Amino acid sequence: MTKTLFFALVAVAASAGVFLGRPAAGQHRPVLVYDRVIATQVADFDWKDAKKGGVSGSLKFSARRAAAPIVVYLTRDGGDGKFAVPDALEVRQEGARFAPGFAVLVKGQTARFLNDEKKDIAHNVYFLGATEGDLGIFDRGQSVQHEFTAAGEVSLHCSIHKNMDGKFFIAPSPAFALVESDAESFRISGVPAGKYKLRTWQRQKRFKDVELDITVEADKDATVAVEMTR
Amino acid sequence: MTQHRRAAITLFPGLAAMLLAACASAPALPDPQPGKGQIVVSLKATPKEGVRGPRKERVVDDYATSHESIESGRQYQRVKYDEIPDVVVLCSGGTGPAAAQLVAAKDGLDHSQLALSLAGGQGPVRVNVTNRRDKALTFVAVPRDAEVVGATTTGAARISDVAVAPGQTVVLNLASAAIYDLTCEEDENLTCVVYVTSAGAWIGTTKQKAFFDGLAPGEHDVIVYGPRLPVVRRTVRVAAGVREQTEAELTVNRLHKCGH
Repeated sequence: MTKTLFFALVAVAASAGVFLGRPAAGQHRPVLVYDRVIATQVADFDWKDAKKGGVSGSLKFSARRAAAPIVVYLTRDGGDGKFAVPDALEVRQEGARFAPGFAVLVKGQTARFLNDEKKDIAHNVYFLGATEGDLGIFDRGQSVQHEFTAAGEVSLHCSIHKNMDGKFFIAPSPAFALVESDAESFRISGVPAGKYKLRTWQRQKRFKDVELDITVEADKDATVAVEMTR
Repeated sequence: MTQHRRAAITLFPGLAAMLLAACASAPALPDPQPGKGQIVVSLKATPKEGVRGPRKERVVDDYATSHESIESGRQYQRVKYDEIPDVVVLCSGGTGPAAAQLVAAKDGLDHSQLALSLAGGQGPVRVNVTNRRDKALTFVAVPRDAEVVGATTTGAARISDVAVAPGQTVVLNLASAAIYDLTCEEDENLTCVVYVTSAGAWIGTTKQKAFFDGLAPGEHDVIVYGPRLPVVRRTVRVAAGVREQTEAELTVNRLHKCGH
């Protein structure tokens, strides 16, 4: 019973994105670890067979927003099912810069990293966050690709060059909208009918992220007003 | 007097001076308090295996020929693994600084990470933010563990912000243990991660050793956060009156090898 309660509490903490390390005697939650993985469920459900609707909405901010995009994404209650994954994203590295330096991928999508330097300069690519791994060192003209199978935030780095960084947000499914820093509305189309959680992720965090329950009906757009507050 | 004795007498002052200098550069650690233990964490950063130095190219001008690196400019600056700055070490016991300085200058912030401890029980920890730019800056600290509206597990940490006029220093108070992303509204390149814990916190470079004192006997978690590097975790068993040593290597070499 006690064990069950312990695992339930750990599960709650993990779902909130936080695990506070096991305390020593007399200590209370003192060590901080943050997990950037978005928990997703697998469901035996295929998007191509589903009747679809959409979600459209507005974003309102209680204070000045960052000059960086926000991702509005959906997770389906009961699991996201099977969906078609977009083609591989090519990420170039000329000038010791990841280009694009930020992108939203869909879980299961591949990124192909190409060293397209003009001179004979090697790069390394490794990831931290929802996916952690090392693609190795590659010389000019070489490319390496990787499939991102966990949803969440991933930071990209080169272990050689200290200013060479990038960021991916791996969306749990294709049901997302990228809201640029000058936009205040969004639309997500082609969403299978069902019950969802609508969530936000900020490229540069300024507000509490939002989680709302919404229902998508076939051939209709659910409308939602998202308020980002501090 | 033999030749060896004369040599020893001649060399002795020099050797003694070197020994004293070595002792002075590494201050002696206090002995453990009665019934308490200590942890010393030795830090090391290791570059990726197989990385070569930058290639050089022949440069000919009117007067001379030289060989210069083909990697020039800020974007090609290399990571200096001999001394990584702003390494944060947290421990599930002990204390740490309750205040830190953060300076926004023309070329950016002077720290990429800060570590603070609430263990002293003197109220919120303080980040003294100084603005050395010619325009006002607003800094926002967003706790990662209160990201989702309605999260109840650790929802105590709040978003805080401060406006800092040019040339001024303003205190940013952080009252709850959390990992805060500190960003600037006017310049998105000014970012810093602030670790606030209710136990042991230390910040330094990989040339230093993290030290935690006054630890209750038992197991302690030690977590090392190097900027842009994988997190290192250790569990250290501490006994009363004993100073335990542990090592943490910051490297990408132990990451899972992936890609094809």
